[in-house]
Amino acid sequence: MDHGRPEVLQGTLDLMILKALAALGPLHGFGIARRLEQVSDGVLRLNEGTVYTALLRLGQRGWIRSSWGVSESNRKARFYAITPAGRRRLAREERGWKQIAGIVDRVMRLAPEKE
Amino acid sequence: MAAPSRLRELFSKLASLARRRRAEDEAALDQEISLHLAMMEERFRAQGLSAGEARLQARRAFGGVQQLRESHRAGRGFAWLGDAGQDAAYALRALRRQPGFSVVAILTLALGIGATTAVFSIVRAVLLRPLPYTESDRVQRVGWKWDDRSPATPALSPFKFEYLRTQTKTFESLAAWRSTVYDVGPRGTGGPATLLRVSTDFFGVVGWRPASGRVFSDDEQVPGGPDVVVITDACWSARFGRNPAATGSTLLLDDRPYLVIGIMPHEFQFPEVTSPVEGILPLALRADPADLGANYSVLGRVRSGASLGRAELQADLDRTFATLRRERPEQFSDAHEGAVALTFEDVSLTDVARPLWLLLAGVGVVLLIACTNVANLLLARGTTRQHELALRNALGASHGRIVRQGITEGIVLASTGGLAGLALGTAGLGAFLRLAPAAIARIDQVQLDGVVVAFTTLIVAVTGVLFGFASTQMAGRRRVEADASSSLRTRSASETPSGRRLRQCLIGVEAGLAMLLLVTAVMLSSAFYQLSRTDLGFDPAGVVAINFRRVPAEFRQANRVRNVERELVARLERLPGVSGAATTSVAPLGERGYNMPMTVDGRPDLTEGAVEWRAVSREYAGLMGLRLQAGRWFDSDDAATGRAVTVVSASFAARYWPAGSPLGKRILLGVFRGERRQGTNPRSLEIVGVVSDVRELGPTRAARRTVFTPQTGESGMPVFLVRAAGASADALRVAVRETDAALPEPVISTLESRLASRLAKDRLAFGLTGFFAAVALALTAIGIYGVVAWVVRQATREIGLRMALGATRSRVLWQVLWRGLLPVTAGLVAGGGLSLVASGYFVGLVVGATGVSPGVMAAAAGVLVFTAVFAACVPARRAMAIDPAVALRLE
Repeated sequence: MDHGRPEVLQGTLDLMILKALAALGPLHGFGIARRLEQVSDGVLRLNEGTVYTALLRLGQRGWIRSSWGVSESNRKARFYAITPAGRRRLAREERGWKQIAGIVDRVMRLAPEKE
Repeated sequence: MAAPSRLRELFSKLASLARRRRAEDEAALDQEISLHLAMMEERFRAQGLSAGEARLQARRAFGGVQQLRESHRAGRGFAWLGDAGQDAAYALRALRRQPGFSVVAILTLALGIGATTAVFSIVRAVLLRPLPYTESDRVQRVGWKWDDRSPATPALSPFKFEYLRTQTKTFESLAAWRSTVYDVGPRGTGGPATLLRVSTDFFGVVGWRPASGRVFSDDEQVPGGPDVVVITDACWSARFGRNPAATGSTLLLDDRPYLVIGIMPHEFQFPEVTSPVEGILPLALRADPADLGANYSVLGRVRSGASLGRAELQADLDRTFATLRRERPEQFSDAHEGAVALTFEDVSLTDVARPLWLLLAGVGVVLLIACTNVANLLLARGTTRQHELALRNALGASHGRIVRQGITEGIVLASTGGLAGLALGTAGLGAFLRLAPAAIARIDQVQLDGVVVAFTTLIVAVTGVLFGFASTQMAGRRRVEADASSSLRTRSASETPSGRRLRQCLIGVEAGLAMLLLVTAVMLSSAFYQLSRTDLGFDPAGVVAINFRRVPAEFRQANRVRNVERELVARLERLPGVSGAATTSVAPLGERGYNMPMTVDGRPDLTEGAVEWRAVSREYAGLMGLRLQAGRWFDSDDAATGRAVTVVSASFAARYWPAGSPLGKRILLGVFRGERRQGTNPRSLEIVGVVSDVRELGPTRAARRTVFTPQTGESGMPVFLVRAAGASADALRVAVRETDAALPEPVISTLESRLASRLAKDRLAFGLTGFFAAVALALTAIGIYGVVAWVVRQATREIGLRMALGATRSRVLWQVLWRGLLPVTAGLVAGGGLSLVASGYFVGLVVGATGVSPGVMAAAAGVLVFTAVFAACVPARRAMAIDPAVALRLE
């Protein structure tokens, strides 16, 4: 099993969902999926079901909370909103993301010297 | 009883709560899924797809619904664990990735934790658990001290007991008791059983009354009263099948029917005697002032509100008996004589408590070594994991998070080791209980209970957290933050000098601890060897004892006894393989002897309360190999002429006739200070011989002053001794049956097996210490091997360079060896010093252990150094095989 890749992807998905909720306010799962589709210009292909796994994980960590409401088409739906802890996390993640990008970049630059 | 059921209730509530919660969660998820699918479908329809097509597309875009449900369920299951759960899962994965490391670490821990758990559960059952009496801390024992040299006898004479009972201000109630073995049931069917004879206040002192039925009435507690018995729960189960009609029925004891008047509750236990008690009989004490033998154990309940301190109790006893000394000075023969307050440990665990504590300390040391070893392994691994940790740090894991991860890994490691240790401990405990002498009080109650498991859990938690720190602290902090980039760059991280020093320190500590255990083990085993070679004054080899523990009353008349004796000895001597038979009044190498007061005839001042007395047959001296020092042994003329003669032991002769010869002098047996003891018929006995001292109670006890008299049949059914090289126990039994069919089944044992059981406790102390020392040595060897192997791996390049520059292989070998052996040497010196300091505690654990001699120290050091060199040589040889060219290219 390859543990490295999904973890990064998972983290990325979490980060994107947090960002969407921070930018647009409370959304239901379908709305989040649409937002992701929109910001990635359709490049990011994912099973939309995985959004719900991410939502469960984020909820368990206390970064988002959910409540039942009514959708635009008048159906009962669960709406997710970011919590203050989630906002702090988002800020950290954003910083961390930039750091990783920087380090990975450095690693890439250093690698050829080692031959 | 109540606590577990309440706990179960709580668990089931929690479980059902969790079930309901899960059902709600799943329903909510299903609703979200169906909404999502419906909205997708609408969207595809709006794009112009057909209903069927839109539905298919929606499903495809959403992915596996069932998979989602399952991953949700899994996610929720670990939710309560949160980060900790993730960490644990990660730690388990890390352990699986390095199976070699994990197996060694877990086995090491299992050994340490298992041994500690096993010994702790013994210590808890035997030493720590409160006694099974109501308000057990108020129950105390009283014994008698004869002089200031020998330990107190845990019993009083009837007269002194009565005096104390009526005069004490501290005790609310006092009971005298003694245990007796009876044959239960119709002859030969029920086997022997232990019963107590107790004085009036017994039930009040222990704080238990019969669960059904009643206690003894006043007219049942007089001499010659009716035969009544209160049975214990164990007896009720075993012999009456818990039939409620047991009360009112009868129990046959030595073929006499006793009316069962009560049944004690299940909770009543009596650990003061080591065998389970089956019943309680009334004891009618005659407070005869002339009966000076301390033959009744005394249990007292301290007045509530009175101080329970030993000093206060002792002060009360001293006060009470100071009065008696003034009133009845003839009751005392030594200025130091008096009553002493004794604890359960003093009486029942005399030879056991200290070895057990030592054992616990010993396994504690083994556990320390095991932990040191694992910490060492973790440190070594920590260095290789520098890279991984640096990466994780760079990827945004905080320092706290990394430490927490490390601690989780430590706890996962320790818990796995702890679980394995618990299993190992249970198995080891089983083995121990099979080997342990049954005579240790409460040993039958040893079990792994909640407290023991809690103790183990505590060990696991503490070690786990320490390991966590060890593994992350080394590789974590400094380097990760300062050198993230360099650590990321170089895969083969090298150890810093401080890291190596820490690891060498740990090896030093290990070696020191191992040295401590080794010195103890060598000392105890040499003492045990000496002990097993102690001169007993007789030769137990090849001698078999035939002992009738209880004989029917008909066999207690002197002429009947003489008949049996004559007949049985003759039959035994005729058996093939038997080369001699003799009789004695007390089986040698038992737990107790038989003593009598004695006065030198005409010298009431030369007297003592208790000399060992044996009535023996003429053949006894030859059969047992007694060594005559002066005079002669009994001869046939003594019996024919009816001369009253005696042979005394050397220490007896030396005490009363330190200068002159005792031969021809006369003593009175059964007389103390000229006062005759009731029920005895003292005759003046002429001393005709002196034999070397005999240690009839075994090598761990000092030789007692002993007098031998010819067997006359008046001292009851004797013990038969045969020198039987070839005769089987069955042949001996047949001889008994043919002599008189009415004789009970005898207990047949060889003197050698009796000697072994006298040494059982000492053997246990020395055997277990030796075992733990071996374990400690093995663990230390693993540790040394690890460090030297590490040194070699780290220094491969350096070694290669040196060899390229012309260093010889032997020089390199020594250099590498030295890095491993330096800390061992330091530890050896420290551990040796420590064992000198600690040796004071070990002296007396095995009788004769006198302290650390240079020989003992040298032997222990030799074993340790040999092991260390062996462990270090294996990897060091690898260093010699290094090819300089390869080593230099490595970087």
